[in-house]
Formats: sequence, C-alpha cells, structure tokens
Amino acid sequence: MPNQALTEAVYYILLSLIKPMHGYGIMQNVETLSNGRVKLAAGTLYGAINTLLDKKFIVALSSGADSRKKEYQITEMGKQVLLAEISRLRELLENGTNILGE
Amino acid sequence: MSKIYKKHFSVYNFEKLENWLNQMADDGLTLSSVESVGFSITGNRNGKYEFIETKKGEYKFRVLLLDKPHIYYDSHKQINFVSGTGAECVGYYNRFAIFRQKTEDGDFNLYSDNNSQIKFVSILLKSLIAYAISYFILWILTIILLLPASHFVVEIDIILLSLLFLGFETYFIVGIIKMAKKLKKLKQEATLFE
Repeated sequence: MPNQALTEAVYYILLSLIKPMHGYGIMQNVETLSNGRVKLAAGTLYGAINTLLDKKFIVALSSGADSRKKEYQITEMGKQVLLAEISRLRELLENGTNILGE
Repeated sequence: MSKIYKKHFSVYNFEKLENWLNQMADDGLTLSSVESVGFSITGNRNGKYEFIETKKGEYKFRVLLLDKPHIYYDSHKQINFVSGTGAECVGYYNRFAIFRQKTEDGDFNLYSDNNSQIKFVSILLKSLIAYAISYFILWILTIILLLPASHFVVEIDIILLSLLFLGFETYFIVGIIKMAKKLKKLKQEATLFE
C-alpha cells in the first residue's frame, strides 16, 4: 500500500462505510463523528465517492430504480487503507505528544 | 407573478451566475426554473431564467459545474446524487446544474475542500484548452482552403472569418487565464490546508 496520507474527508467517508450507507447518510454521519467540525458538501462527496470506487476502496450496492438512494460499503482493500491511516495518525500523535510534552 | 431573464454566462464565469442568483434571491426574486434557449456566439446555449417573488433571502443558490455537458448520462447521475443529499435542483443547461436550499436549513455549499475544487477547475481548464486548440486548427484549415482561390471576395471572407475566429480564441484564452490563476491559488492553499 503506498505511504500516502488520506484527506480528512476521505478518512471519515471510509469510516462511515463500515456499514452500508447512502450519500446523505454519509454527510450526516461524518458531521456527527466529528462533532460538527467536518461538514462534507455534496459536490465534494460525489467526487470522493467516484475516486474511491475507481480505486476499489468501496463498492456500490444495488439500489433499484432510485439512484439517489444508492448505498456504498467499504471493501477489504479499503479497510486495509483505513488501518494504515490510523497507524500513521498514531505515529503523528505520539511524536507530537513526546516533543511538545502535552 | 414571474419575471423572465435571458442571459449568457460563460462556463468559466459560473461564480458570476451563482452571485447573480443569490443577489436576486436576497432582493426577493427566487429562481424557479431555468432552460436553455438560443445560442451564443461561441456555440453554447443561453439561459432563460424564470423568477418568482418570495421572501427576501429565503433561498440560497449554488451552481454545480458538471463534469460533462448535461446531455451525458454521467451528468444526470451527478445531479441525482447531489439532489439526494437534500439540495433541490432547479434546472440545468450546458454544464450548469443549479441547486437551491432554504436559508433557514443552514449552510449550503457544494464543495467543502480544496481537492474537489482543484479537480473541477482542472477539468474545466482542460476543456477550454481543447476548445481553443480545436478552433485554432479550424481557423488554419479554413485559411488553407480559401487561400488558393485568390480574388477580392475571398480575401474579404478570409479577413472576416479570421476576425471571427480571433473573437472565439480571445473568449477561450480569457477563460484559460482565469481558470489557470484560480487553479494556482487553490494548489498553493492545498500545500498547507486540505
């Protein structure tokens, strides 16, 4: 897996998709998880979802006729990426805490 | 009572369109429908905007720049996705999809980070460059075809066509410069913040 940092938006999108969820649900869940700090906009979310689908970090689940309610879910590859990111964030936090002493 | 306006907005002036719609809404005229009508000199459709009287500032508008012109299936997927998040699509034409949301429902934005803005500005910039190159090639081919038949009328035609193509190229080059500056600014910000 390439050693690249995920953006905060993508991190929270992947975390939200541990369970199947549609676009609006992802937006609401991310806002809740981040205590209102991260507010995903629809255009940004659409681009991120397409990129994650291309990279096979998530899959689209069948939604029937109404494409507005299409749900997505994280794949095994997506979970690996998420775990690598959590490990990276832990390293950042440990180094920061050790050096600043807080 | 409704008011109708026919206006042309260049695809790279989508922010002007958005500002105009929000200014009208703040003044108590809310966009209720939009459709394409006629053609501008660049070949893009003009917009026919219908407004109805509402409470001042009742709605907030945002313009989504579609990844492809609205005739493509992917663009409708894009419109449906955004509609599914709670924004109401008022209409679309060319590469514009216009959404609105009631002001009382809170913040309304279509882009929340630099990366997504960099992506759509890059797509737009590439389209403008492709158009500029295509029109330039068309201009050269036209001159090459007309040049062998050299008499006065043809020379006037070459001059008039050249002026027309010069107009097109100026239009695209202005757009390219604007979008290149915007992209540079977004990328500079992205080195520090998402």
